[in-house]
Amino acid sequence: MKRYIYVIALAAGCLAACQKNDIEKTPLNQWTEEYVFDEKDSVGDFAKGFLIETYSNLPTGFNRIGGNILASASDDAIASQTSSTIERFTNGQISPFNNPDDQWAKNYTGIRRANIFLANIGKVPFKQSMITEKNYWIAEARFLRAYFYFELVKRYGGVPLLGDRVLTLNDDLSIPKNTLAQCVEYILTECDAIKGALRKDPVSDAELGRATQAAALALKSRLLLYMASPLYNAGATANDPKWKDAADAAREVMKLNVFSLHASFGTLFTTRKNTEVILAFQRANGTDVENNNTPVGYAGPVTANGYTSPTQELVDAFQMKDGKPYNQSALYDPANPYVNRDPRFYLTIFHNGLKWLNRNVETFEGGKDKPGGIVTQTRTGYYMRKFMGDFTSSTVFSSQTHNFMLFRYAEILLNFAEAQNEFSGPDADVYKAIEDIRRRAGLVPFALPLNLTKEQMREIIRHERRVEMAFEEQRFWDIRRWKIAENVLNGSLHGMRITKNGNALVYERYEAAKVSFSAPKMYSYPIPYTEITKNRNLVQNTGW
Amino acid sequence: MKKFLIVIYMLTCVSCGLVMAQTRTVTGVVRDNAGPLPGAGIVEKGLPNNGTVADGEGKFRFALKGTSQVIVVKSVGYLSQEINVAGKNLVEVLLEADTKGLEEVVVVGYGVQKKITNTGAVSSISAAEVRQNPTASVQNTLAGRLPGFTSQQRSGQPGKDGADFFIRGVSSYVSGQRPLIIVDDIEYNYADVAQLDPNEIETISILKDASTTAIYGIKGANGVLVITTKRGRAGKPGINFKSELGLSEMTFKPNFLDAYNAAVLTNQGYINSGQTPFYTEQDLELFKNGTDPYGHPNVNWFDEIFNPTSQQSRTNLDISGGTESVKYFVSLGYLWQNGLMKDFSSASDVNNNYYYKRYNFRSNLDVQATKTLSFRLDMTGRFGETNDPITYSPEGEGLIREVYSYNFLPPFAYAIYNPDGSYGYNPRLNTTNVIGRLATQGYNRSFDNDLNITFGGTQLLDFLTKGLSAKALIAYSSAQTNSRGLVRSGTVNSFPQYSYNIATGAYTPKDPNLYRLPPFNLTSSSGNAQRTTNVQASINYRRSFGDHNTYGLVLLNQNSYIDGPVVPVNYRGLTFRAGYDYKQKYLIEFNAGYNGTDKFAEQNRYGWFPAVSVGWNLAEEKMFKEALPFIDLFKLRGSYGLVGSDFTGSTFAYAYDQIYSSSATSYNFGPSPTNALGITEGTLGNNSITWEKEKKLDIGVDINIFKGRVALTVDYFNNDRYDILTRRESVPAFIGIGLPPVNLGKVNNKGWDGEITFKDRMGEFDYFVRGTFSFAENKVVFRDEAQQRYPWLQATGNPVGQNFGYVFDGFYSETDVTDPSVAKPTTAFRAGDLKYKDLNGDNIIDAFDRKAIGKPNLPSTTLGVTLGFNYKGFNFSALLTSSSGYSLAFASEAISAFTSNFQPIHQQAWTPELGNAAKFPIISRTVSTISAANVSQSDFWQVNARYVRLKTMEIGYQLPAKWVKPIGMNAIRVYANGYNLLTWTNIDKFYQADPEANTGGKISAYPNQRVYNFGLSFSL
Repeated sequence: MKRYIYVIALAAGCLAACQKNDIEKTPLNQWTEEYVFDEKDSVGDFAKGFLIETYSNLPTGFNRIGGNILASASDDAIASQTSSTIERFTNGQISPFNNPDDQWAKNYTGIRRANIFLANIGKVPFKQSMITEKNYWIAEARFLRAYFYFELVKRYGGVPLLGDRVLTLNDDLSIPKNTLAQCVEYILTECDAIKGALRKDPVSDAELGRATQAAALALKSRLLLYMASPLYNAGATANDPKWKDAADAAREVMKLNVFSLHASFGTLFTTRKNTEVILAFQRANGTDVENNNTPVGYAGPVTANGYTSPTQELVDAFQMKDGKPYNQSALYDPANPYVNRDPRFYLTIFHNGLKWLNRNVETFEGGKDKPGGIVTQTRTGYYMRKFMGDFTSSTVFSSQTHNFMLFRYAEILLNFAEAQNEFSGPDADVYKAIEDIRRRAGLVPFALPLNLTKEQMREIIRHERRVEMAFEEQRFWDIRRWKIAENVLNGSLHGMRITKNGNALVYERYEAAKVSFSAPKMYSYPIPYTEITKNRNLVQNTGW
Repeated sequence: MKKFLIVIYMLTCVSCGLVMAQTRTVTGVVRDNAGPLPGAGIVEKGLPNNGTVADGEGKFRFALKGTSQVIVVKSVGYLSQEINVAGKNLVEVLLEADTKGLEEVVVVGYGVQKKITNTGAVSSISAAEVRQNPTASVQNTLAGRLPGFTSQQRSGQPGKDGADFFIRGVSSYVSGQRPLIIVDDIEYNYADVAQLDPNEIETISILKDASTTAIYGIKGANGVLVITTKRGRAGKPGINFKSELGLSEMTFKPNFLDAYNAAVLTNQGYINSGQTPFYTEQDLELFKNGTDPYGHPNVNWFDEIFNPTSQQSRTNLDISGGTESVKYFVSLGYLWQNGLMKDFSSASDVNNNYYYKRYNFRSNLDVQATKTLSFRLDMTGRFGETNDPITYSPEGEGLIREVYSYNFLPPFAYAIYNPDGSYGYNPRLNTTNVIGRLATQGYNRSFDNDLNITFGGTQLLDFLTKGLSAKALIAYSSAQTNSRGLVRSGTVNSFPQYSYNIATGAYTPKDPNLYRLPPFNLTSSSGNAQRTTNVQASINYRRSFGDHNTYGLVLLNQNSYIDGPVVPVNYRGLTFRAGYDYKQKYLIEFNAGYNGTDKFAEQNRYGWFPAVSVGWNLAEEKMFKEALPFIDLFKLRGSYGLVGSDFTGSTFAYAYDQIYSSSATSYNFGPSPTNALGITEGTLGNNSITWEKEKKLDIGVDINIFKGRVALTVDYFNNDRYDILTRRESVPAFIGIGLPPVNLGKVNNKGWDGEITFKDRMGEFDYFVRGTFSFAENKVVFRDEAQQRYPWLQATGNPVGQNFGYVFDGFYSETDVTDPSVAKPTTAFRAGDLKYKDLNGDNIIDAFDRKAIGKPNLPSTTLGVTLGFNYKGFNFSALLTSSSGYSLAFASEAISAFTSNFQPIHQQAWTPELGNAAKFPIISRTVSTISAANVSQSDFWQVNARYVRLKTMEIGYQLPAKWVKPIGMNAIRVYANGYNLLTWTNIDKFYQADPEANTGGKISAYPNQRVYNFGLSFSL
């Protein structure tokens, strides 16, 4: 009997011993805030990682809205798939419940990350040689925060400004909106405060992609340009000083004398390091842009989703290569409309007959890339070509740089030209800025007619901006700030029906989509309904 | 102390020596009214380990070792008898059937309880009933048999057909509504239950109230399913062999329109959208007369892909028996379920069908080491093999959805084969040939390996105090899934397809660069090894002092679960039980769990979960007995207590900490991009997070009348779940970070369940009828919901899983469209679209006009009727179940025109002539969003579903003994049974789906199966 007692005692002892150390008090593989902002880490390794993650809240561009690009919500393109969420912008379905480009939470997440970084970076005991680096990081975090506010402001107007606060659940979270003016003031003040603290351009290769001094100046330039524009500056006078502010901000970037237009428009978007890029979302190399937008008939050896259908309106905006609008140029042949166009046309749009992956694009009715039937295919007779590598005579895609450019120098020139023209008319500087872009584009001649009026020049600048920056998430905002969305997005958008008649092609414009834009409410986004219910002090934007 | 033990030890030895001298042998035979009764257990009174079992002819022989001179004879279903054998060497025992059911026991947590003294809410059935059902998953047949058990079988795919089940509905609006599952005292997970071989099972119980679940404390709130397996009994080895062969088919078959009718509707849709008709009159004529099978095919894809029936088989062998010192039960099982797919792939020599194979074994061993010490060693293993064809179906949703899809498999999609035998292709549709994919693309096969070992020992401690025993147990289980596939290199299009032009005879390849099949590649993956270690140690006490009966239990339980690199989960706790009854008349029991889990912060890990239950056997009162002598049992009982649920789900695991995580970001600095290390802040932590709690009230009555002919049990329950772990819903998003769970939700769940049994015998005709009912209704009492603009938008106050949507109010007529007083959506619409009620009266139909519609997807009411009879060797039984009080709604491929294939209901779509008599909104190529079920959910799409199913039926015949004995058999039985044999439902008026299907957009689950099964069993 005794031995059983011993056995039991022994077993119980064993059990107790076994249990002793196999349960950790907390999961040891998981990191806490103290580990990231480490009081012993003299190089701030993990703190740096936290900042890098903050960068990833920048806009990613490309086919980000259910497979579609933002331009498919403007008059530049429509989605190839019917009933895509992006259509809500052009069929009036957008609502506080239902916004395919709702960026409210994403940007506030970025703001929180920047604020956590700023609140905690002081705990990290940087060694002397790292102090400069640390100061750059702090300025970068402040830049990113300002940028996130800009993303909010252009969508929602005035939003709650949180300052340096890292909100907790114990705070009073019924924070009201700040006015648009306060938000703009905040962003501008931040930009001014950090422009000296950021890295000077150009940066070393290792830092390529960081927010630099020029990025802060470019943000200021765009923001001031927006704020001078009709949407935000309704009672503007002829020589409104806001236009001067905008022009000065752009000129500040130009005066850095660091940036210039990249020699080739064709390789601009697939070259990571070039003289034109000011700030870009730094993506890994890949083929996603090609996969998503290549005409559908190439499916098989490559993925070819053909999501984007550029409109005839955008195609018509491309001039002939002699620098004249298509309907004013002798080069235009209605029976062969795609020859002799602005060289950027061939790098922006797939049209019928363009060579790609070793064959010609076929967007005529029944062609490989517009076969008819129910398969997703172009609705306009065009596909998006921009941003892709040159696969004219390849059989498959290879990995390409697809950084999404948030600021590039051409925009600065366009910002400057627009603001300067509005403020003081088409002077020589305005001419030069636009002609530089047209020269790079390869227009012959690139020069603009002399003695243009301010209004004529305005049209030229707006047109130049449209074709130069097509699909770069500019037009969507431009038609809003110019208050022309109610004109260009009401009615129809068109495509080109190409019918093959023997060997001859017959071209015919047709209505590809009906669009509607309800002004003035759609000039700003609705604040998400859930945010309105959760915060009793948050007032919905007018009209929603 | 030591000295004392030695003294006891010596005394024991001496006394052993003394009694040894009195050893003598008793022989006898056990009978009942019908004749010899095999299998009865005989033990010597006072020496429970000295016993034997009656053999096949009811005979026994064993040596008495004690001094009592009394033997106790027991057999299941009979009243036990004590017989004084003083002076007798040959005894005859006549056992009386236990018609009153007073000796019946029920399995409860960590033990068994006599039914008469049980005060908790427990329902149980013997596994023999489950074995009447040919389904592979045990839980598929419990609904309707166990009151309080609700299940819905969501898929019929071989190997994945286990039903989703709940005990007394659901009480939490976040995940973690599933009951705890205990097999032989060891916790199993949900998937394991479906893998259990029914042949190994002895009993199945569900524990429903606080008094029975409190001992599981932190894990008991959702109820507990307790399964025990068979064990050996001393006696000659008994060998049972069973072999079954079954045919299965789908419980329903979708009915789609043929090519001509679909083309007519297609044209109608184009016309309604203001477009020119897609097909010409000539096209329609060709569809109709079928003279152009290549240009104008008409394919019934369902029939082309699926066989009408498939096969399944099951084989079981078990051997049990033993001696007084070693008893064993060994079982082997093999199950094979084949899928419904036709054989396309023989040419490629790969099996492209769905199938499931399962090998089970169990070896339960009991060793009586000494008179007071026994050990048990259980080993069980399951090896599953599940085959999935590589379908490359669009969007990875599988074949079923594809068959429903207008965009991928309309009847006129393409000709399967061209005249030369190559795979057909239709350039206008530009999809890949489904038959070609199934034939050439290979399979993926996953292998589940699941092994459990349980080792335990029980030491009687009568020498300390009578009725005391100690028990320890260690269980270890290991589960892993790995897979192996044979797939073609390349993409979905990696086989040649040609479009054939009947006029020119030309073949045009889909991909001109592809002229042969690429080779197969072997692929493999291995899942994480999941290991569970469970240690239990307990002290048991049970003793009677005259009319005072007492029992008690203290149990230590520790469980560790490790799943690969996931943070391990540990659980530890103490369990207490103390019970007392006076003359089995006044009953009281206390249960308590004190346990915890390391999912919560150190200070919040452990909690007390007490429960009390009382019972009063009125029928034992003298006055009652005299007044109502025909009532054998009339027990009132009630229980109240607190239980918990530590289920946090993977998203809430270790939610007390705020975790920062690192990963390679999508951000790449530098001219040659390298992923930079990024670090993110995780969801906010909540240091005070702890388990959900539930106060359970149960009041029940058990009545047996007319000598057990009628038995009735009814329970009322009212459960208040509180501290539900939920994310706050009132925090604005500009906080910029994920929110932690907080203990603050409240749900009330109450209802009734019960059963009534009637059984009787007329001569040799035994028959019984049993009805069960389960009704549970819940309501969200509190969730941290922001104040909505209108009260009907509020989720609080509705049941868990409530749907919200518009209220259907007819179809827009042509005059409505122009009538400014008719409320309209902001989006485009046309006459014939669904018209909704304008709840807020602003003349605009928008999201503010959505309210609670329909019911949740889980039935609130489940009814069951089991009936059966035995006559001589024949037996029959059937189970009818009915579920109601739930809603089904589908969208997209299931019902929407031009997304779904055209169905007969589309022929009753709105036309100006039909108006509100239409059954479906106007068919159009561009569906208005208000009529699109996937965008604008409304009660037009909700079916308040109900169904009645003949779930199980069995007919069997046991061959007479005089035929089988001469060939050396004990028994031979032939039988036929079936599953889901008949279904009556109201959903088939609208949807082509099984009534148990999961509500949702499309129908993509493998359909539920009806099984006809034939079996033969014999025992040696």
